[in-house]
Amino acid sequence: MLSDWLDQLSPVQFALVLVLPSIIVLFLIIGYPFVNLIYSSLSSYDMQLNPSFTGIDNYIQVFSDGAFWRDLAHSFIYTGGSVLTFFLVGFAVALSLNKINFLQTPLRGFSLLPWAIPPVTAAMMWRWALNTQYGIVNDLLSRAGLIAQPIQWLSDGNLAMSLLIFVDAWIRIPFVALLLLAGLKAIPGELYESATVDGASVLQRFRYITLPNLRYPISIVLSLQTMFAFRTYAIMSVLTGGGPGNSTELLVKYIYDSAFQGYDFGVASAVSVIMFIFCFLFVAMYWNALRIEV
Amino acid sequence: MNGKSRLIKSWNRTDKSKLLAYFVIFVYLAFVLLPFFFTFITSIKTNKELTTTPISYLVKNPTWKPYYSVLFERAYGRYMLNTLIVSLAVVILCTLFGVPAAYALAKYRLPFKSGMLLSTISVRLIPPISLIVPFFLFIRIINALDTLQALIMVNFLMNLPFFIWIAWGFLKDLPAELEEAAMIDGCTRLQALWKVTIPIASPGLGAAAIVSFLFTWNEYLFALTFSQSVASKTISVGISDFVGDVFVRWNMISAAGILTTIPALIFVFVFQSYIVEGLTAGSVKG
Repeated sequence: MLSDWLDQLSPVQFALVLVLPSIIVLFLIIGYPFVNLIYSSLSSYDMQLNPSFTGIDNYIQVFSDGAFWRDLAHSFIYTGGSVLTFFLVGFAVALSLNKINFLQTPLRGFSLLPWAIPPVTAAMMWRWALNTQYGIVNDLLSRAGLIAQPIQWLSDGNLAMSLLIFVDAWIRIPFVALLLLAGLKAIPGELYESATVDGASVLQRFRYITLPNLRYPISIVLSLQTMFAFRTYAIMSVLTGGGPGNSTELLVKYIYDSAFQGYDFGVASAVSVIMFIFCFLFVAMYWNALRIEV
Repeated sequence: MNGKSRLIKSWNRTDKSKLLAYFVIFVYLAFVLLPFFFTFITSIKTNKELTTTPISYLVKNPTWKPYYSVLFERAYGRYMLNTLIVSLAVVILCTLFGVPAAYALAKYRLPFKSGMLLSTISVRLIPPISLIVPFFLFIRIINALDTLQALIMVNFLMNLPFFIWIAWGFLKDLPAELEEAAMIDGCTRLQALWKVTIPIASPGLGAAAIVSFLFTWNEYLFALTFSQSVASKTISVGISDFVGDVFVRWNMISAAGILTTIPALIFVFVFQSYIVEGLTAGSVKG
C-alpha cells in the first residue's frame, strides 16, 4: 500500500516525503522557540509567567548590570584559556599519535574517554581529585615532596578559574586530537618525501605542508569547540558552582539564575539572545579567518 | 668504537622525535587516567578507609557497598533507567526521522536542498542555554514538566540535525548503481532503501546512532531544568545532587560516577571505529 503509493510519486515528490518530517521538526527548533525567545527578551513576566511587551527594557537593565559585564568577562577568560590549552595540547597529542605506529587504536581509545563520559562526571572526578584533605593531587604532590602544606585548590578565585579552564580543556582535547589526527593521516606522504629531498627543515615542512593541509579540520575544531566552551554549563556548575564568591561565575550561570532563581524570564531571554550572537560571531570569525567555503 | 658511534648516529637520526611522541602520549594519558583511577578506587572503599590519610592506593577492604547504596538506597538505579529510556527513545526517533531525510538529501534532487542542509548544520549554532526559556515555557504549557517525554522531545530536537549531518556524510558517498540494479530487478523504492542502501550504510548510521546516544546520555542542562523528581531525573542531575548533598559520601558519589561511564567505555573500546568515523565524517575534507 504505502510502498505502491511511494512508487507512483515523482522522484522529487518522493524525496520531499522523506525529508519533510525532519524539516518540519527542525523548523520547530529554529522557528518557534527562536521567535518566542526574541519576544520573551522584549517582555516582562508576571507571577503566573504571563508576558507583557516592554520593548528594550530588559536589554537596558542587562547592560547597566555590573554582574552581567563581570560574568561576560569571566566567560571570555574561560573560553580563551580553554581554546589556547585544548588547541595546543590537542595538536601535540595528534602529532604524537600520528608518529607512533604502536598500539595506536587502544591509545586513541583511552585518549577519547574524557570526551565520551558525561561532563558532570568529569567535573565531579576532578573536584574529588582536587579535594584539599583527601584528594589524589595533593597526596601525590606531597609524596613527591613538592608541597609542604595541602593546597586549597578551589578556594582561591584565580586558581579556581585556572582549574575550571583545565577541566574544560581536558574534556575537549580528545575531539580536537581526533579530528587533527584524521587530517594528518589524510595528507599524502609523498608531499613530505619530496620536501625532504628538496632540503626542507622540520619546521618548514610543518609550516608549508602540515598547516595548510589541516586548514579545514583546524577551522572545524576551533569554531565548534570555542562555541561549545563559551556556552557550557555542566562543568562550572559541578566543579566550582561559580565560586568562591562570584569568581568563576560564567554568562551561562547568569542566564540560568535569572530564569530559575529570579524568575526573570525576560532578562534571561535577553542575555540568551546576546549569547547566541556571540556564538554566531565566533563561527563567522574563524571561518572567515581561515577562508573556508561552506 | 665504530659500532658505538654508529649507534649514536642512528639514535640521533630516528629515535628522538618518536621518543618525544611517546613522552607526550604518556604524560597526556597520565592526566586522562588519573581521575578515573582515583574515582574507581574511591568507589570501592569503606566509609572508614575513605577518610584515612595518607590515601591508600591499594584498597585494603574493597567493597561493593557504595554501588549498592547508591543504586538502591539513593534511587540512582531509577536515574539510570530514566536516562537509558530517554537515550534509546532519542536514538529510535532520530533514526526514524533522520535516515529518510539524510537519504533524500544525499540521493535525490530537491528544491532548496543546500538551504535545507545549511539550516541543519546551523541549528548547532544555537546555544542550548538560549533554548531553555522557550522550551521551559512550552513544556509548562503542555503540562509535561518532570516527565521523560519532555526530555525525549528536547534531546530529539537537539540531536536530529547532527544525526542527519553524519548520516548524510556517509550516504552521499555510496554508489547509486546498486540501488538502480535492485529497482530494475523489481524492488520498490522502499525495498531498495531498506534492503540495499541501509545495510551498506550501516556503519555510518551506527556511528550517527552511537553519537546521539552518548550526547543524550551525557546531557545535563535540559534534564536539570525540566526534571524535579525521581520520575525524570537523569544520571547527570543525580551526580550534581550528590555533590551538593552533605549526607552522600564520596565513595557513593564515585560509584555513581563510575556507573555513568559504562556506555562511554563500551562505545569507546568496542565501537571505536564507528565513533571516529562518525565524528570525522565530512570534517577532514571539504
